Amino acid sequence: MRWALLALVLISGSSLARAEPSVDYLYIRANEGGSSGGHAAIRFGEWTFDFQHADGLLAMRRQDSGRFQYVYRMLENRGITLSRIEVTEDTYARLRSTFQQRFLVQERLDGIGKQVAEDVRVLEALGAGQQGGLPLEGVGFFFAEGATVPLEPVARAPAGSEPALRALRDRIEADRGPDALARRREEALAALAKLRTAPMDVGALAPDPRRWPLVEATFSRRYENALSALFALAELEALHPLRDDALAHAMPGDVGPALDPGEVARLREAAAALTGDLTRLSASARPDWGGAMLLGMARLCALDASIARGRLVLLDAYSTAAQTLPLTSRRRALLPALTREAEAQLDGARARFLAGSGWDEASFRELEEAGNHWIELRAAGARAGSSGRRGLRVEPGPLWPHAAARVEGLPAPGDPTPLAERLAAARTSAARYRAAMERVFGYDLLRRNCVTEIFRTLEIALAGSDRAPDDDLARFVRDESARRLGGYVHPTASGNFVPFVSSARVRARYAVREREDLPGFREQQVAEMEVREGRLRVALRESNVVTATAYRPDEQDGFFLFFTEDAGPLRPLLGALNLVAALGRSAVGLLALPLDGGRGLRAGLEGAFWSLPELAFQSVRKGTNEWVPPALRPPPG
Amino acid sequence: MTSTSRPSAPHLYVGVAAACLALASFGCSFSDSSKSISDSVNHSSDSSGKSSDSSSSSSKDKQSAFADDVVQYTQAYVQAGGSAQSFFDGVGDLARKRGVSDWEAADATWISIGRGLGMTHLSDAELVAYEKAWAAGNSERMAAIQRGVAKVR
Repeated sequence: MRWALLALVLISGSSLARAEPSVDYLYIRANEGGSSGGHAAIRFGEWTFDFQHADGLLAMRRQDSGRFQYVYRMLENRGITLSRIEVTEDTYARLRSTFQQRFLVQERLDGIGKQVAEDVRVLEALGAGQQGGLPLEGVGFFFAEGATVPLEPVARAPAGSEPALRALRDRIEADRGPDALARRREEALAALAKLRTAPMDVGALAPDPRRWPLVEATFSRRYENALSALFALAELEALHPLRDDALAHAMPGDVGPALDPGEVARLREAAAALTGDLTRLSASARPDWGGAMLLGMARLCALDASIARGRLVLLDAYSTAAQTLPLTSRRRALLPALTREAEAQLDGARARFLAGSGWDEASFRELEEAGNHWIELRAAGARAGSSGRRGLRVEPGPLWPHAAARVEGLPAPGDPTPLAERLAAARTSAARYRAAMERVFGYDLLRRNCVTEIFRTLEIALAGSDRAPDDDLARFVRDESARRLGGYVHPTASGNFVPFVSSARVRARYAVREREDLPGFREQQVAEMEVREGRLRVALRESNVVTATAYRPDEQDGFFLFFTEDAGPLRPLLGALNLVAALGRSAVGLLALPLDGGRGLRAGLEGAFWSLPELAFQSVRKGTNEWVPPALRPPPG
Repeated sequence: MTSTSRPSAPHLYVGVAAACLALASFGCSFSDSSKSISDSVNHSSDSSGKSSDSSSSSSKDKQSAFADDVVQYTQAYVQAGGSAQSFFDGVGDLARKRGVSDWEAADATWISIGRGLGMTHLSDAELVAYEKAWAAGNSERMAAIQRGVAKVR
């Protein structure tokens, strides 16, 4: 069994060289916590799509395929059964395009929900008068928290202030005329003066996963665009220096790695090209040009500072949504290895950017992200050696600088309708939108879950239209499914909504060319150890969390003693021992409640809960890992 | 490695019952690494820093993800009957979520718009109307859009 598993790992690497198009259906085995019933996903090359149940809604998610496998197989120890469905080029393109478009529709619908909620927030801020304030992205690069919206012309800075921005302003005025900034300011003020504060008519918008939602920009979006433009123009006049807290620092005064003369020359070239792009942006018709201008100017200042210091100076790219993890002893021990991994990524991103030419925003953003990871880890390492006052910020990418700062002195829009009336309408609109989303995307265990929506999206692709389902269309879809995929799998019938059943159905009915069982991290490690050290010895050692070397009890996991996946008939016995141990841990946790904030009690109770299925021969938990070193990661299947 | 086996009936029933119980408890939610120290580095396929890493999708592919999304968006937007005026709000939203700020400056954006237009069922006259509206008199943008259309029509 273990030999076969190891062979599968090796085979999985070779499959990457395939040339024919194929669609991969993934069944991800269960683990404790989320998705205890297993999970399902579908992969098209570099992208993996799945459906996530969060906040009562089932939302489509798209992830980089490498990251998807890292999270599930390495961090969560969950094996994946991959069924490779053979398709033609035409079918591949059709299915991939439908999944892509459904993802974009989902993203847009979520965005509309946020914008409708933002209408409420902005109207509340306006209603609060002098006490009102609004966080605005980009402002924090150059302005302090609580900056007043610059409605009046700003005094020009004396010579010597921010030379890169001064050169940019000179070029804008040379190209567009000396009154270019004043004209744009008038435009922004005029947009505010004629701005209607009416909320979006959500009644006219029926969320539909098959169709792009056509809506106009919301009031709050237009309002914030105008404010961003005013701040960008004020910065071009005042030439405030880039704020120190907008930069990524490992330690006070410390920035990024040193640059050689060739790299400095490349940064000069990039800065010159960026200046040209920003000059064009200053005349752009895009309504959100102000926010892009603030970010571009901040990057220009960072490039200028890098050139001046001979070290890479980067903007802080973590958003306010970043999690700050406490630096436990276990995490502190991981910091050196993580820092080395981040450094290797920074070296790669730096080489790619430096090998390019002109201003390449995509590769510069990658450099910013990799540099921020490296700097944040170094900062955490430095803090871990001192008082450890702050933890480690983490955030799934892509990272880019936001620099949100609260602004005050909000100008009233020109709309004469009372704000209170608009606010009530906006709140009603937000509630109606949420209700409409729940009707269409609300989670339902049997009818709308992570499996059913994959097959429904396949049906949308096969139908080739967004018309409402009827009997004729259903027949057409079944025929198309047979023709293109080799058979048909109903989204809900015959238990297909259960992840592992759907995986078996896919193999039984579709034209599956290949099945691969991709082991989770612990499973793979144990298989490799058995090859090296012998089965019995490894089985005994790795069967429990006390002597295991392929698993270290994670602070997030429930408490248990024995792994029961391979325990066979002994599973109920080991489950009973796990249950007793977990209850004991709960009792200790109860006593320690005032000291550990309930962590021990939680671990004990969760451990007891996940021992119960083991009493009935079912094993769910597999333990989790916070990080797996690159050398131990197998290639993705 | 091909397998088309069905699960045996007793095994299937026990498994379905267990999975239903588990699903009923926790549904299809699932954990991610968003509270894990692993997110202190990048784990996408092409983040290894090795320029010739054969186990990853190429950097070029990943860098074109925004461009690909613009193709799909353009097609979906036009097929939904969207007007020429509000189109760029959507491009701006896509760009913002992917960390792209100056999407107007990239030729690739306009080529992608052309590709998306070319993949719709618009007549030639309708196509030209969209091209003119979106290029807004900018000859470079018009040329890029037309190059995109030509790639797929």
